Amino acid sequence: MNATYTATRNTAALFDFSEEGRFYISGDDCVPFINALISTDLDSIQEFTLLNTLFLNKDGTILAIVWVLKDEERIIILTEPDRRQVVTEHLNTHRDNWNIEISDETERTRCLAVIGPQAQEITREVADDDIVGLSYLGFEWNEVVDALLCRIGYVGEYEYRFIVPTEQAQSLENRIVEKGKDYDLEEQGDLSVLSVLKLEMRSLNQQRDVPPNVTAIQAGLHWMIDFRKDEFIGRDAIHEQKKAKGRKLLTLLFDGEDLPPIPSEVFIEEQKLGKLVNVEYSPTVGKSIGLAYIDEDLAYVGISFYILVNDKTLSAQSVSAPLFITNTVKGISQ
Amino acid sequence: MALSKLDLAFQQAKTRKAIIELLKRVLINRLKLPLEIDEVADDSPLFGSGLGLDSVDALEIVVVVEKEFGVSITDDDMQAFRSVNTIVDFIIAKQAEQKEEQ
Repeated sequence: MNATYTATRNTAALFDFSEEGRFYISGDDCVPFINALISTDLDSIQEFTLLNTLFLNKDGTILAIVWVLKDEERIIILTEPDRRQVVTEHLNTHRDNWNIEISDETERTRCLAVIGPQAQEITREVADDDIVGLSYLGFEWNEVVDALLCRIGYVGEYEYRFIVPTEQAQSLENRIVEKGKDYDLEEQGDLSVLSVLKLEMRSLNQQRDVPPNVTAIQAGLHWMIDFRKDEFIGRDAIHEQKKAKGRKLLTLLFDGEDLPPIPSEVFIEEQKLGKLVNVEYSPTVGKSIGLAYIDEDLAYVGISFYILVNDKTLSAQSVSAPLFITNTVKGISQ
Repeated sequence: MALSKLDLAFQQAKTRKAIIELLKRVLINRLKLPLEIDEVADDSPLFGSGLGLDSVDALEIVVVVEKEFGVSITDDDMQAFRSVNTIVDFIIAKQAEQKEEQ
């Protein structure tokens, strides 16, 4: 089993997310400017909290899945690495008539993340006991390490992200590694493991899980949309699409460990009913798991499908997400 | 005549859809969520960054699921309540359990 996977699910691993995009938007209009672009309502959250939301295209497809952080004087946007360019273009396209400044801070900062059931303990050692008061979806300036500290999370475990000026990043990394020794911290988190960690919780990676013609509704990202919000790009399309989806994204649990090619057609009897867009072997489940877009009428949990690979039939059943309760959630619930 | 696999799948989907819609309806009403049924995805996270429910809402969910679906819920069961789909899994499993006991 991959050491990073084991550590993330049982102790903690340190990941370098510096390749992700980090945009700082300041100026009097920073809140209304971003609010006009995202699908949730920035006015509904307090300062020093964050949102997982969407930049949509007019047709309801997804331009970017983003994290939006709101403090007292600016907005910070975090994007997947491959979305950095389109987000730059999107912000610049719509900036006219707003009193704002946009700064791409990706090269001037680094982002280090500690993820796992022990991440809170390690972060306490690194950044002081006060961080225990930092709630999920909160962030603060941490004076101990001189970094922005965010509590995010999409793999079902504690996740603390440090955003720090590049010149201070190495000393912060050294400190995290040193403090993490007592907690079996995996020091060099393998980023490729995030794919299965996210898949197990059904957290989507846009590049892999959401083909360009797929809408936010088909991807099941309803919770990243404020349906009562009066205006945002893509709003009209979203309200149309929620009534008739076409295909819906489902999690599939395979009978064995085989990994079919991506994309693969999904069948019942001899009828093509969907397309598999992602598959990974889950060490916790002990089987392969995948995501598939399935015809709406059959896009429900508990249905048996199959995929043909050469002449071999791979059976899979649609299942609920998340696939299991993580150690972090068990700990919080107790 | 036995149903074909495809017909059986349609029947299973229809049954599941009916439970999901009922659960969404009672959750929206009971928790006074500003949402319509088709604005909640079956796998949307209920807590945290998802629908943003909290521990008080969790207790309301227990009450409403027990009342509407006739199943009893323990504190340990609560861990399974992560999404509409996982609650439906729980309801179906509990109802089957209760049927066997009768």
